[in-house]
Amino acid sequence: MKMKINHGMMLANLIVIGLAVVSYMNLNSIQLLYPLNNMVTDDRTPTFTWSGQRPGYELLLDDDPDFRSPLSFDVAGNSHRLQKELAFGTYWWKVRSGETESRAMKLAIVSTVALSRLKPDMIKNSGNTELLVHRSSLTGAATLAVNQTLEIGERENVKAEQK
Amino acid sequence: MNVKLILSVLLALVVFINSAGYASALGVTPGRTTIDFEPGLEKTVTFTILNDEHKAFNAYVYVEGELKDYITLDQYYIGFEASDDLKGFTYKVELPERLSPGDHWGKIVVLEQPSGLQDLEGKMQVTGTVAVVHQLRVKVPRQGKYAQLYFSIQEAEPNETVKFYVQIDNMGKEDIIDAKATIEIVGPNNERLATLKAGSVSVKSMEGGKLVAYWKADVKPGEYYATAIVSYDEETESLGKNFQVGRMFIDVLDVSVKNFRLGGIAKFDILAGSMWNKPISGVYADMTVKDIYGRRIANFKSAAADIEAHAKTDLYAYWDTEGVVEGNYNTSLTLHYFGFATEKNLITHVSLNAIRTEIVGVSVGAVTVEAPESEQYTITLLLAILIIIAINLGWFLYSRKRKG
Repeated sequence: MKMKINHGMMLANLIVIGLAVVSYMNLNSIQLLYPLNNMVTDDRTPTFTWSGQRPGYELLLDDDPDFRSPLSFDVAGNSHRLQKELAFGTYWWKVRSGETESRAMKLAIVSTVALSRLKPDMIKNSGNTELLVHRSSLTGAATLAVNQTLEIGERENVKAEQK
Repeated sequence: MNVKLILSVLLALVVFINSAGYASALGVTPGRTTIDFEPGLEKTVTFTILNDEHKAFNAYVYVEGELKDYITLDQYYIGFEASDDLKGFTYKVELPERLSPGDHWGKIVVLEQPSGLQDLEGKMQVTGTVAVVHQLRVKVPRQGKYAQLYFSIQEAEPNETVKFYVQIDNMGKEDIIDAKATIEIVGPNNERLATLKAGSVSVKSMEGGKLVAYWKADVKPGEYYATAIVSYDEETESLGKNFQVGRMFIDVLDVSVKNFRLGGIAKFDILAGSMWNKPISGVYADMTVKDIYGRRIANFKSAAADIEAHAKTDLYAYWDTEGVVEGNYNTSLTLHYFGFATEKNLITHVSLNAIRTEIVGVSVGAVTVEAPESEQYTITLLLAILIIIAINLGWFLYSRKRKG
């Protein structure tokens, strides 16, 4: 018996099956969105963002690309901002949910040494790390925490470096 | 006379414009670059000079520190326009064949060129200079075994898992064969709560290793202390750190008013209970009373009080009810402590001889029950099958009708 192939019918079935597969893959996959892979930032409490349709995720962060001893955070949504500052260095991060796991992305957190002269007689640590401030009028150095201000002489020279 | 006046105004403007230009920020990122020593190593290092305040200025760059003879700068002056956010800067490092063990430093100093300006009397006013430093650290292995240790803790909520990390950086020339760590946890009264083993690791020269220990925090919320005792081969070192389980929280247990007559002063007795394992100082209550239309009737605060660990305390707040009429009032009560706040909503029933309060609206968010993920997939699959069946059935019926 010769079977008659209906091309329209076949196409409709294929489209539906294709849509179901794509929809299933979308539900199943986790795409890391931010920070971008190999990104260098001076934000010590970055917000990690990813896409996915699941109700809960585990965010893993480690300074080891093999994730042998990661920091882990249970997250209900699709993003998480760290509450505590990360140390400067290179990290890898990924997200998992059940059996599904994203690929890992690399992130470097670097220090910024920045000094603002708010007024002729006042400076501020506007970087992201504690500073040693050398003043021309004094021997030794003062420590200046992030966002901390320090009164100085109007004609005083100052030099700041990472502590 | 007129010329003098115009000059004075111009000079004043110059001074004003220059003073307004303050709040300039000069920066470098990264603030430090670290490299491991290799004899004769040649390397190019890049860092970025930041002009956060978008100011036009010239930067003078120079080198200092013990490694200055091994550092060559590409340029010594860099000009910034107001539109420049940042500029990259490159220098070359050529290390000698030998350096003594330990850390060695070179410093690339970026100095904002001072701009002299004249004051109203036409005298030159000299301002101080600002400079920031990019450090170059060269690590040279020490003789034998030498570890730099770092202890960090990932805090958790009660009954969740606290993680303790010991990072071991081997700065010695010899490998560390066996590094181990034990974590001791004590409570606020120095009572020992747990002793954990963090396993062992071997760490090669100039490499790092990590040890981890886990602890289920089946304790009340509060501050605790952990000591990591690290032994590597024949050496032992210990590192200590405070950590928290849960968050500081003070609850409002009761609010009452006694001996009240309408028109007089109502004394609110707010009973607060601490869920924290250490004393909290400076706790106070802030109350706002609103009528049924949401208009603010009164706002008053209690005096600040200290509260002991896991204890209760009374806070007193006074409301002058002169001109207040009998009825129900919505009242928000906020406890403030150590940068935290506990908020409660109350309904305050005011009558001629009494005030009765009722704590309501304990902020419980709407609970959304989501289908588990496996259920979502099943739904998608079922939907696809149903659509396929419908298409096929439709086609079948249509072909039959056409044939008929």
